[in-house]
Amino acid sequence: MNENESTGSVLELTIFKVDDLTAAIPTSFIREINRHMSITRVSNAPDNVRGILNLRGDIITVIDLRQVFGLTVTEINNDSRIIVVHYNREDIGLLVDKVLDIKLAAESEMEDSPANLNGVNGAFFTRIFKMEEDLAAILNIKDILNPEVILN
Amino acid sequence: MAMLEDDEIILIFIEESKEHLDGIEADLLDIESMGADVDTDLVNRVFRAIHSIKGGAGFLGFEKIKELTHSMENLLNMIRSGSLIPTSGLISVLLEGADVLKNLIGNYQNSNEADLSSILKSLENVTLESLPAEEKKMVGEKVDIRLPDGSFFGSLPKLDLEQALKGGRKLYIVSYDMLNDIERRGKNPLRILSEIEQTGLLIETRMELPQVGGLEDFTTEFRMSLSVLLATVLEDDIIPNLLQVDRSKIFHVDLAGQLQQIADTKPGAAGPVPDTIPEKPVEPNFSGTEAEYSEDDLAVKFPMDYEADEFIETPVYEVPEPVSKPVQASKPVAAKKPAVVSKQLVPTVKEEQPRTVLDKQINIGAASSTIRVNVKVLDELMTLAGELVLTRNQLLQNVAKTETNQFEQAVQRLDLVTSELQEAVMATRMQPISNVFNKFQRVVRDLSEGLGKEVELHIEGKDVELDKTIIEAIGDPLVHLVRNAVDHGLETPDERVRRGKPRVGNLFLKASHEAGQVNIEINDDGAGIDPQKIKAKAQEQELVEPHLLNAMSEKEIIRLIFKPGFSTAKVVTDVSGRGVGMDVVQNNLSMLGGTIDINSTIGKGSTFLIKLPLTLAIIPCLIVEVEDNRYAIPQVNLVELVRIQADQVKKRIEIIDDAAVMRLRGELLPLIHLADALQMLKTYLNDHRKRKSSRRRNLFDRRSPVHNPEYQSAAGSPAEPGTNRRNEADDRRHDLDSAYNVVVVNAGDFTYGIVVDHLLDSEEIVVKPLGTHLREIKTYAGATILGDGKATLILDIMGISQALNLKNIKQKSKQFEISKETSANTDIRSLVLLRNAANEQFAVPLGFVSRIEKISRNDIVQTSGKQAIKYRGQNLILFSIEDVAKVGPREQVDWPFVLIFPYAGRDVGLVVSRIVDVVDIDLKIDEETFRQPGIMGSAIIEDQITLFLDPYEIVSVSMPEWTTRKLLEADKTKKKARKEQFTVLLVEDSTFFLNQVKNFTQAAGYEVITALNGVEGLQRLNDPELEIDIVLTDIEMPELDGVEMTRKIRKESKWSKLPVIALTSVAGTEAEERAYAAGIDEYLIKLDREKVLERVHYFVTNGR
Repeated sequence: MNENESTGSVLELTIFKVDDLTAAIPTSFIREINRHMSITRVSNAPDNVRGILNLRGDIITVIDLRQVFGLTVTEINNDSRIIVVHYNREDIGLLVDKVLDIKLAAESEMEDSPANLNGVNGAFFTRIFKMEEDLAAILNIKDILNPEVILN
Repeated sequence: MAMLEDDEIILIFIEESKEHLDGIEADLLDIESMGADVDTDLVNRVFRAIHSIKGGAGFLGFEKIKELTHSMENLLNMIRSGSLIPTSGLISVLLEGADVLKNLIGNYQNSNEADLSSILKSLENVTLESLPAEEKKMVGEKVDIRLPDGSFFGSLPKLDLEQALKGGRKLYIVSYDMLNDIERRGKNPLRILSEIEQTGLLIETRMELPQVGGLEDFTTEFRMSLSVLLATVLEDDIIPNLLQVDRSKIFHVDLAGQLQQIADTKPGAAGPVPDTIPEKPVEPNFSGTEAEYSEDDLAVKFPMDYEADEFIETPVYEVPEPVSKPVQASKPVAAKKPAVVSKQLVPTVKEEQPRTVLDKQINIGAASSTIRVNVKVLDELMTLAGELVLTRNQLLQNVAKTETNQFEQAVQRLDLVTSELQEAVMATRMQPISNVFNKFQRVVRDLSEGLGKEVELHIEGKDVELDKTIIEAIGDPLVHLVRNAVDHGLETPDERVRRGKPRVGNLFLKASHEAGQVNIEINDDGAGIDPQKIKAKAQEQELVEPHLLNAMSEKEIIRLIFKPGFSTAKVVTDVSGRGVGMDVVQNNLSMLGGTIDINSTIGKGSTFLIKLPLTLAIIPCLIVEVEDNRYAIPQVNLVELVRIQADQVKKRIEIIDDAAVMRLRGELLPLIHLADALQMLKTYLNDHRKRKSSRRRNLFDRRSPVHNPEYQSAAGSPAEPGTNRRNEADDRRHDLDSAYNVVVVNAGDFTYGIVVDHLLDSEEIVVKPLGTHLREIKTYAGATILGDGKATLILDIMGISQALNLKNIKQKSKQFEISKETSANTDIRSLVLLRNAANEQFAVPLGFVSRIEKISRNDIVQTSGKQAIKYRGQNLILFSIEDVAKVGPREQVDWPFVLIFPYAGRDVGLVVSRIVDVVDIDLKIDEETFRQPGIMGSAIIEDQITLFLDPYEIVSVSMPEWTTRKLLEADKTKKKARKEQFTVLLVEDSTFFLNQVKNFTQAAGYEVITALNGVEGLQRLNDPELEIDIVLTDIEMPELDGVEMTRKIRKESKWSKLPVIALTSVAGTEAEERAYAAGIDEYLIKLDREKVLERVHYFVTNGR
């Protein structure tokens, strides 16, 4: 996807925190970011699924990104946000710890992802965006939202 | 002939053809039933339907469809003209043809590859048989027709042309210019064809695609033309106007295939009608002024006008702006149109024509009341209505908190409008069930013919409407059930006669509304389902373990037919008995949110009852709460709500084979706690190894701390303290929190109970799908949004039972649960009649017995001279009547019964050979004649001397060591009694029990004062002569019952210390709650004398 996204010289990224990891998603995937935390727990759901949410009349699945990365369960606080992405004809919420910024990333500022970053497997990333103070891992949405991956 | 790549037109054609076909079957059957008395209208209808399909098929290049419809049409035409009488065989061929046609249309893409030789042959044979000799000769003779430009139009059977010319019709060939005559007028070819249909008989169509030439050809000469051969009674002068084609393009055709330009009888009208106007084609009718039109022209034109007005479809005439004047001018004429029409039309047309025109208009009127709407649009409307419902719900919840009057009114209005809108939108999706039911005439006819049976099908409730989706999906299950009824259910005519039934079997198909659901009943008066056969089959196929099978009730056995792989048909017929069946039926119905049940009586017939929701989109649900999470349970799955009081939990919930079960009116239901079940499933799904079998056993112990205090500490479940804390902080609902709320649900072939924390509202909810990550979870049917805006899961009742692998309880013994609620207000009046020796009848008051179990004789073990069985994990000591009383020995049966009752704080059992009945009877017991140990008296019941058992005496005589201990205690009582001579007030309305209780209390050394009801009881208490130490009272009594009496006692401070013990026939009733609430100290079974004495002793010595 990133190839398509970056056909221009720059890629607009939304930067956020998942535990200690600084992560990014191309803004084009994002429907909205909200702090609507009335999540209904779903028993029997995979651990990665935090629950379901009423998003203006539609039921969307909320995925706990920390759990996807094999980290602890996200604790919801004032900074927590749900990033609603549209992928594969479905809106899906990603629960993150904090949304930091929206930045434009030039091709030159991105490089291949390392084997891991802050303890998170590099397979979840497509590339790394080098910011002044920090590195942001650009998430591979396709893999992250793949039910197969979530289920395992 | 070209295959047009115009999908939309094809789809319209397919859609219309299907509609035509839907009606055909029923009509054909009607035609058959009328025999020689042919209803021309009916035949015409079928004919027209087939004919329209033929027209479209020809045009669109579906050769095979055309060929078939053509043959069918020939046959129909002959019926119509009376040259053929519609025999059963003939109709069969036509029905077969309709079937093939249906297939062809359903699979139109490949229809041209289909092999139709056999059906065509059948059709041809029927046709040939009935032809007059000279016409037979014509068969095979073909007439070649060429268009005026010399191009080949087609080679047609002369016979067809001959037939078409009957009734004063003439043959015309008309060439339409696709571009100017059709496209530019906003028409499409199908529309043209159907217009022709209404004027005459369409015989053949041909599409001409010229060679593709250069670009200049394209702009000027390129003409796609549609040529049509039709037969009509209309005259030359009318045709051009009617068809809106220049007369130069219309030709007569004769039987030799020769063409001739039609006559130009009205030069005025024939004026230079421009056949091509490149930019703005002008409708020929408007090309001149009004005056130029003859009355004839008008006469025929008007029906067309009329039609154009009625349909909301694309305008027939595209009227260019500049010529708007004639349009206006035509209006006044239109006003007087009816008179003109009738006057002019009648002489112009011949014979049957007036009726056709009339028919047409009526049809048009009917057609305009419906409109074809894309299902997508409806779906969207539906979704919107759903949203509105949800928003309304949210508003309604909020308005309860605010107090503004106007706001409230507005919301009320919104509430109303929303509901109405929702109903209206839902109505757009509703279709009458007749759409499904109608095809059963045919199914039943074919089946009964094939099986040599005579069946009359009765259909009721055709008008009941269901959602389109459901209508479409119930067809197959219903066909299956109907087939079964005809194949297995109904007997052959001879057999029926032998059994004294009418030859013709009856099959009822009924639909009706009930409480937001639709019931469909399939009922036959056939042989019924024989449970023995099912049983034998189940044994043979090893569907159920043999010992379970023996314990099953007939109804349970019959329900085995829903097991996968079950089939009882003696012979595997073409129709049924292939082993796939009822389980599939059940699954399909449950996917629609429906259920199915059977009632069957041998020799009388069977009834299948299906319950379906009206719609799948908005469903009524019960909202329940478990550990602060709410869930929706679809109403259609609900059977009942049961509340088990805290102190009843132990009695009604138990563990069998590692699973919790609940007793409900004699049935054992699997019971799950929703929260644990969901959690457990998760453990189960995520990690098989982690799942411990002990978990379930503890499930209910842990949750009933009142009765299992030992578990409370042992369980150490972190959930427990939290739950309690929440309960305290919450509302009034919680003061009875240890009680169980059980939602009894139906999951297809069986029923189970779900324990929830709270039952909340009933709500109409809109089903929303779950995301891809959650869709695979079996336990949820979807999600919805509740009034407060929170997303909530909808439980899939069937899915949960499957995921947990819930089954009907393996009953080691058959349970005859006695309804305690009903026996509460009876004492001696409800009797269990039983046998021990085959010739002696015994009775025991129902109230003495807490349960009756059917056991296997093999389960009885001998231990130290006593008989016992394993019962609920404990040894249940068994006693026999003949051990104590001088009566005949017990008859040896494989499945004896055990009456279980409490004796001195433990359960004991009395074995008898059979249970005869439970009777409600009011009688006098003779306490003298047959009095002996174990027998308290006798009476005549149902003309037989019946001995009344005293089960307590039987035990006390058999087990003197139990009683000795008791006697020692009683001795102590006696000693104390001697010292102080306690006085007991015994209030009891039944003299029988009064005497029984009086006897044993007196024997224990008490002074006993008696009263026959509460009023008398209070009088005794108030009697200054008497010093009463304790009150023993019955609950149900005339004048003043035990509870009310106690309430009065408790109001008086002088009696505040007076112990009151209630004695009843049965423990554990609603009355018990009331009794405690009224201030009764203890609630005991009347004749458990050991216990009664023990408690009396306790209270007189210790006070209350």
